[in-house]
Amino acid sequence: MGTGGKGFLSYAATVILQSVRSGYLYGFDIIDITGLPGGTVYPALRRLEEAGFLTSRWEHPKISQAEPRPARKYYELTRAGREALADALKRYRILEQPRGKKVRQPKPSRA
Amino acid sequence: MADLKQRPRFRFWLWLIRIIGVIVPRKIRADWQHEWEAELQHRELLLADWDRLNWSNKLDLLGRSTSAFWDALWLQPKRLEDEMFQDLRFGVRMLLKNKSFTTVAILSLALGIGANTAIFQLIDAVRLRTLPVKAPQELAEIRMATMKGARGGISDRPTVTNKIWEQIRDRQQPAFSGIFAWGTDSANLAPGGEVRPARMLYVSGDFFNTLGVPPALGRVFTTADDQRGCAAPGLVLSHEFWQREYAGDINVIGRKLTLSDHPLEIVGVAPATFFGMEVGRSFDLALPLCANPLVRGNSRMLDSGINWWLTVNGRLKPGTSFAQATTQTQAISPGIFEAALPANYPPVSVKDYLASKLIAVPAGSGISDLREKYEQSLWLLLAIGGLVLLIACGNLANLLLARASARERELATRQALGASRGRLVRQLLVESLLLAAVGAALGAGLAQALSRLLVSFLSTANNPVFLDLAPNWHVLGFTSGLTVLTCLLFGLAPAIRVTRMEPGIVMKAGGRGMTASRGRFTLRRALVVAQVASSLVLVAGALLFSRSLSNLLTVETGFHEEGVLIAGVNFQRLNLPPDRIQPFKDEFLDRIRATPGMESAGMGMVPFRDSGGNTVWMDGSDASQGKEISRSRVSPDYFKTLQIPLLSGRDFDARDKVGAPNAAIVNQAFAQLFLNGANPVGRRFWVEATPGDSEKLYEIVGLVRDTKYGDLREEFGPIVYDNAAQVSGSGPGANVFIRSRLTQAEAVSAVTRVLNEINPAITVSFQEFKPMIEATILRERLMATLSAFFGLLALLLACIGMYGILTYGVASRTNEIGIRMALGAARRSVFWLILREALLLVITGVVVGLPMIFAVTRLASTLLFGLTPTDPISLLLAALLMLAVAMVAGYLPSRRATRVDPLVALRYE
Repeated sequence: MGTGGKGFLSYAATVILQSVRSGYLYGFDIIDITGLPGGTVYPALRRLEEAGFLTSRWEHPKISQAEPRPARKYYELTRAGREALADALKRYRILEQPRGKKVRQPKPSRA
Repeated sequence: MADLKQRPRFRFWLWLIRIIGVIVPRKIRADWQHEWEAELQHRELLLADWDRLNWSNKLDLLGRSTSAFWDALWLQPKRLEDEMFQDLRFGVRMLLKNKSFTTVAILSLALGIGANTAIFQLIDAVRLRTLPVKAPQELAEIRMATMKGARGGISDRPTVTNKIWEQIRDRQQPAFSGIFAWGTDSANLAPGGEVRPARMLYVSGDFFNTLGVPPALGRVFTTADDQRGCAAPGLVLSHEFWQREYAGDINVIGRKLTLSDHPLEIVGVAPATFFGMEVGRSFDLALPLCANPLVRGNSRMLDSGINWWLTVNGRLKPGTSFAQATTQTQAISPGIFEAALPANYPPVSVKDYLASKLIAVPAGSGISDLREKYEQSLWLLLAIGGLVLLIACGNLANLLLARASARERELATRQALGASRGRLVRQLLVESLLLAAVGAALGAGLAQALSRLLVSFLSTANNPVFLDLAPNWHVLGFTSGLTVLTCLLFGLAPAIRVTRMEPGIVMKAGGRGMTASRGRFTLRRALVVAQVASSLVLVAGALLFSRSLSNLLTVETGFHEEGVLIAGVNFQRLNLPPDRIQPFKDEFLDRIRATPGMESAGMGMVPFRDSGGNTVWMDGSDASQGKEISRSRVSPDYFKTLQIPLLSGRDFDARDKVGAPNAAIVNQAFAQLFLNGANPVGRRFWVEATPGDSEKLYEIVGLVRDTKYGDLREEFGPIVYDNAAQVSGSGPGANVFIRSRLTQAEAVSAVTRVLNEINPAITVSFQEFKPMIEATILRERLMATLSAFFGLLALLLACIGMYGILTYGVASRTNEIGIRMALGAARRSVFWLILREALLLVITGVVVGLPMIFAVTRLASTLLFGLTPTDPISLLLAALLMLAVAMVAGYLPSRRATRVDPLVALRYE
């Protein structure tokens, strides 16, 4: 799954970026929505973050403490990520679709 | 929100994350765990909320947590970057900073590791590798338990006759899924004139298929190819022969190759990896067994029942053990030998023959003369090489210790800033590992050249050695292991030592340094003493082997081999009737003698190459008092040509012809054994019956001086010389010994010309006698050469080591020397001060090394000739050499000490 700065994004990386753009910000949500295995998604997230296409943040403690559970990490597109995604979408036309509504809490899928 | 009670008690998924977390680099571990746990717990809460935390969803969670493993795996390079990479980067920087040290270290390691790897590669090739065939561990050799009952032409190894093989083949062999036989021979590719030898591999039909060796081109033999009396057998070329003679032409299949006037069709080419069943030897052409009479011409190798030349192998059925196979072959042995007993077998040996047993032994690594001859030497050489590498490691450890003094402030600072001791040791070890790795990489390259050099050393013109030296995982493992070991050896002690000090004290001590302390110096001295001791062992070993070789080279052989040319003449292609063969030999011998420049020429068996023996007893006593005596078959002038003095009686001459009483010439040892040294001329003796001859009476007509018969190492033994002219059934070939005033090249062309004039179909090959004898002590030469090389290397390394420590000693004692000189010490006494230390080191080393020599050289005693492992001259010489090395190593530092300017030295006090 090449994500190198100069090379093209791989299909999986594009799908992941796109799902982040669509509002699926957490690792498990991305796994659910893309249908990719966790062993693919997480390393890809790390790589995309390293390449500067994504940044990660910790959820506000208020939310997590209310549940109670540890704070989750969420990912956001950077500017470079947005551009790379736009580029990649030109190549993977099949992924172009009307922007979906943000869904905060996806229904858990059964992997 | 979820009620806490709803949460399951055992949450395997969280445990799994914790376990997997162990392999995540420490720096990011907490974050990593946090992220995964948060996701899993969030999902868990969600499911609990929806009341769907059932088993299948729990399994889903577990499944998700296992994918954390892939994530953790992906993060592994980060760990390297974290710590290892830092260490490596820093290590490379440090090594580049100190180029001369790095160069010396890498070169000595490359040499040490290269030499060891090269020797190991040879050991691997002759001993450890299995044959490049399918499932070699299933291969068994079906062989004679003893060769006691074997009579006739017997090879050095246990072999069987073709009759025995046919019996084995035709019987049920429930233990084996396939059996086959093979034998080697040589043939001549040249139509006439000088011989162009080809190494032949005769194989039974199932050979290739049972081994699982597919053809590289065309096809291999099947049982259909190997039928008795085959008129047009096919040929399978070895890959090497195909490349060499046909330049790898793929249209070679179907072409003809003429062997002994028979054009044989090439049916296939063997794969490149396949060299036959014999490790150390390769083949050129493979033929079915049935082709032997055709190629050899009237040969009775298949029918005689007394030519022991075949090796039988089988492939065990899965689940069958060698013991089971042996039980089975032993059970069928009586029937086999009963059926294979030749009609004319000597009655004395029939009982032993029939009692012979066949056993099955593992043959997965093939058979090898080379292995038997050289294995012990090679292991010994590996030990010697290992010792040299140890000495080199000692030097490096010393250098690293010296360098540590220069770096102790750096290390102290790092320790003071919070680096743990383990971290510093690791850093220093990484530097050592870098050195070792680069050294090993160079060494591995060097080893490829060195091992090929060694193989060429073992090869002679008549006996080319072929070994597969391609690096495999054995060699790779050996070299890597050696690398890590050397790294630890030379790197660990200094690393631990250097990091042991208190940073505060080092910082306070200023530029003077703590490592100059007595303790550190003692370690370095101990290292040098150990080096001297090891070098002493190696030098003594080298001297022992060299003196042993020189003993062998100068040992009295009884004949004068210098300047003697042996011409192997073969006139099989003339197809002479048996009664014409001996006259023909006499004729061309006379023609050769008549050639201008010839001094003398005679035919005979070649000492050290041809051998044979029979039981002999004096006339008047009986067979029970007989002794096994070596026999040789010679023509008139054989003794004259080899300059073996005739002490009494006469040489063979025209009187000794077929029909006349059998004449024999014996040597001194014979006379001593049977007649207590009395003159044997005129006495008569009996020779036991052989497969070709009945019991025969001989009359001794001459007595010659003792000569060596089988090899240079043996004592003079009794020999009986038969007159070749009186021996019936001699073959269409002869070895002619030629002594001439011509140069070798002139003699070769003169003899070739003469033979060509007689008949162009006569073939001849030439060999000088002296090099042929020298080839029999190749092993001794190898040991002498390599141990001398290693001995010199050890001396050099010890010298460098000693020089290093003395120079360092002078540098650290500058103040002391300055004071001594200021107080009026003479230059000479300062000179001696330092040199004395060198001598002390060497003497201590010699004292430590001597007992080691006694322990170690005993292992080599069987390889020595004419001296004992504790040969005083060699030991004394070795000790003196070490002293000389001390002088050389001590001279420069001692002189430098005398140049110390007291004023300059004391200014720093």
